[in-house]
Amino acid sequence: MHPSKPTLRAYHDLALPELTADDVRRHVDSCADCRREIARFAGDANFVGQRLDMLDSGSTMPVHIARARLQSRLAQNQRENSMNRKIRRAAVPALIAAFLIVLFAVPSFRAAAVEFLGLFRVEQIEVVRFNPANLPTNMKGRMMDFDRLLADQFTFTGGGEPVEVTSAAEASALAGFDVLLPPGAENHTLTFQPAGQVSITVVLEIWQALLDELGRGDLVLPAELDGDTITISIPNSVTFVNGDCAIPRAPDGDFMPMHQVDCTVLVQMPNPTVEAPPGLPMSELGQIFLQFFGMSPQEAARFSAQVDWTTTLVIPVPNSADYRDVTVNEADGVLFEDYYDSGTANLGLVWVDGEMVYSLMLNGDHTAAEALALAQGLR
Amino acid sequence: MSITKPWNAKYMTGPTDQTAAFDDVFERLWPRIHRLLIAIVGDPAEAEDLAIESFYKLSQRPQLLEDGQNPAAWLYRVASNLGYNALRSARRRGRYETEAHESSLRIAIPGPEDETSRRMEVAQVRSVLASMKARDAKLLLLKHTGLSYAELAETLGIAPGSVGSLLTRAERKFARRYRQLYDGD
Repeated sequence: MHPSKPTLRAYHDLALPELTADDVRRHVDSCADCRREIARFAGDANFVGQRLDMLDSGSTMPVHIARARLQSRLAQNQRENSMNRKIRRAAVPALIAAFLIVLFAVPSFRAAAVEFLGLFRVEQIEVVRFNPANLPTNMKGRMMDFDRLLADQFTFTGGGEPVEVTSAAEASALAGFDVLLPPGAENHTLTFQPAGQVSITVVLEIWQALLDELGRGDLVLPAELDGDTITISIPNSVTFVNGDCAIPRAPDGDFMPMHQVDCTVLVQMPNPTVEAPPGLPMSELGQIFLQFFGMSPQEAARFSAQVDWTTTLVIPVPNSADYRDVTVNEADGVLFEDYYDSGTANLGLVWVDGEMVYSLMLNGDHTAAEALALAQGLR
Repeated sequence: MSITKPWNAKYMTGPTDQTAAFDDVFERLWPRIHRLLIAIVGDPAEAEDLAIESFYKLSQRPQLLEDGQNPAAWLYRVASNLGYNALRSARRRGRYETEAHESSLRIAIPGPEDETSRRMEVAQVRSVLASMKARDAKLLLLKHTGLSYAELAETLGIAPGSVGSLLTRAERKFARRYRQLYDGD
């Protein structure tokens, strides 16, 4: 019986144990077919080998100089480490949250986003305008595929089932912070979501493939991301929902336009935290993020250089929407207003009060003044 | 020769025996990792940065230096990822295609033809590698570096029994593509 092709290949590459190699050699010596088979792949192997030989360079940097360079790299990291830790705590959730906020802010993406990333509902603030027309097309449809594709890279721990509660007192006891509600609210639901963690291990090839798939192969993710694990800890949260917030589906299974929904959602939780390996290239990621939302590379580089990614959440806001800085009982926040042709509004108010993050969304026949009054009246 | 021994522990994240293990890995593998990256990206300075980055990443994962771990396979994996990523990124900018094209124009002009021709071929080889699937390109490059079948399998996360077949397939694709594009023989 002839040796298998892989065995012949391993024999050619001297990769067989000695005894097996002896057996194969004896067979090959008397087997013309096997010699032809070996000659077939040996031809390609030699062709490739000769060309790869051209890439070889005799000189490498001496070890002691390389060591000195590495030490300087490590020392630099040591100096930046305390600052970076702050960056990681603020900017990574910021980027993720910013992405999510825009998903929620652009009606056509929002429905998909609800299913895709129901877990995140956060954060803090700086605004950059973008034109939704510049976003990749059919993002909503593809997001479902991405969800499946990325599933292996996400690990969820904790979390658990949401628990419906009947009063602010009950919610506060479960969540461990004072839950605020609009005074006199009726017919609402109040849900406690236990804390959880999401760990994301980056498989660069897949992430890059996603960008390629979205037609943004020009955005090259930094190689050092590969294999990095980023862990987002999402504390206990409480969600107040009033109105008809179910996302209607058309008979064909697609999502209905969101302006038909009349819904108020208030989410409150302590600041989420993020752990990421040192050296996460924040500015580079920031630039990719900005370019994804339609900035030119030059604009993104300029903007990214001006932004302190340690403290700033950059929220992309569709250029059809208005936004303004507001204060909610002396806490800083941003109010977003986006009006549909029908006259109904999509309003978002995000503010940070000490350790707590609040996010209020109003959909339907409401005004910005109402949103602000609602936020300021929370008790 | 080492100018700073023992390894400067204050910058390392692990205990002393791990810093010694790291030092050992660095001494042993620096030349091979640096050479691999020069082969992949061509520019020695860029290769040096990527090699430093690979070892830096290792220094941040002291658990890889514990007994029973294989930091060499991990380093090769990281370095080949970084290198291939840089190669692909250069290809997106059209660097190798331009070099290959410019060199082919220059070759018509009388001059140091050997050097011009060599540079053109090198650019062509990198261009073909950059156009291949990541695993195929890395397999060819790492095999060429001298990794054994077992090391290739561990580095690239493939079954040891599949290395030969995958290698044969990757070589066939490289040769076909190279001949298609550059009519090499």
